[in-house]
Amino acid sequence: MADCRTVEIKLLESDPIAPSVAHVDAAVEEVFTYMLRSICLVVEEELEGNRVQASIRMGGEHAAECCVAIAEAAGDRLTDAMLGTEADWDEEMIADAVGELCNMITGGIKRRLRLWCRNCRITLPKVERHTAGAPDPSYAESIHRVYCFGEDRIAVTLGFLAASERWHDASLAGDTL
Amino acid sequence: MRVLIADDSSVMRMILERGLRASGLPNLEIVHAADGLQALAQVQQHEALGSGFDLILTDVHMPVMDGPEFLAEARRRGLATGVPVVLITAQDVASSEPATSRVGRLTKPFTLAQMQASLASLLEVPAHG
Repeated sequence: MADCRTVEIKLLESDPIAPSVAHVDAAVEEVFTYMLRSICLVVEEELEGNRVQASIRMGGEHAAECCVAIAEAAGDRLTDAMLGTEADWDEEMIADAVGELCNMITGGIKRRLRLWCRNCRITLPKVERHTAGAPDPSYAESIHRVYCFGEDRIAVTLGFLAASERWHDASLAGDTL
Repeated sequence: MRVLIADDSSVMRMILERGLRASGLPNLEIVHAADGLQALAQVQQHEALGSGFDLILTDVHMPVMDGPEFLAEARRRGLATGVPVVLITAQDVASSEPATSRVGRLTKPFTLAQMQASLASLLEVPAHG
């Protein structure tokens, strides 16, 4: 497993415009550290089984979609970690937790890419449940990482949208208010 | 102390409530709202009853009515005058809220200590560890 705390600071400073794995790792590590109180480690395995997936679109000069997915069985543990207490959470609460996780990771990526995300608006999280074997989101280009969260895995994909897929939605929340 | 928490995420509302209760603020009464419109209704209702809020924590990015819109509408109606506000967001937001000593900001993700420090500086009370 690779320790994503070895973020390449020089990479971030020398090329602040284009999104990179380092930006995604840094945003995820921040959430793991502050909210999940967990070490952030990258793993090679993919998610298995049914999964809960949240996605947020970013639109502006560039367009991208950030997807965060966890195995359905990990939902309780993720929600436990975020709330600092153990309980049998219902599906709505778990979906909320995954959506909020996606929101924080997307925000962290956006904060680290101020130039690339200039004039960028983002959507509210869309949370879906996918059965085992359902195709993962696919993009022409993407950054995809899977992180170890205890015995569970959290998959994060930052997909870059083609010009034809970009949109301008007045309902998106702007970054300047 | 009567506090309004406005956030469309029930998980985040619970996290914020936990942070408030751990902060040592006295006689806490916490009211939840899931969007800016509900928050506005809560402020209006409580002030009409003479029991206005002492602190407002509001997410910036919410459906129906977002945080800044809620605050602007409240101000337009003469509500929540002088009430300290914490704007909460996962992004960097150049808010339209005037930079005053009564508006704080909290960036997600945050630790309990960061939340308490934000409240302490806004309310001028000691942060509880």
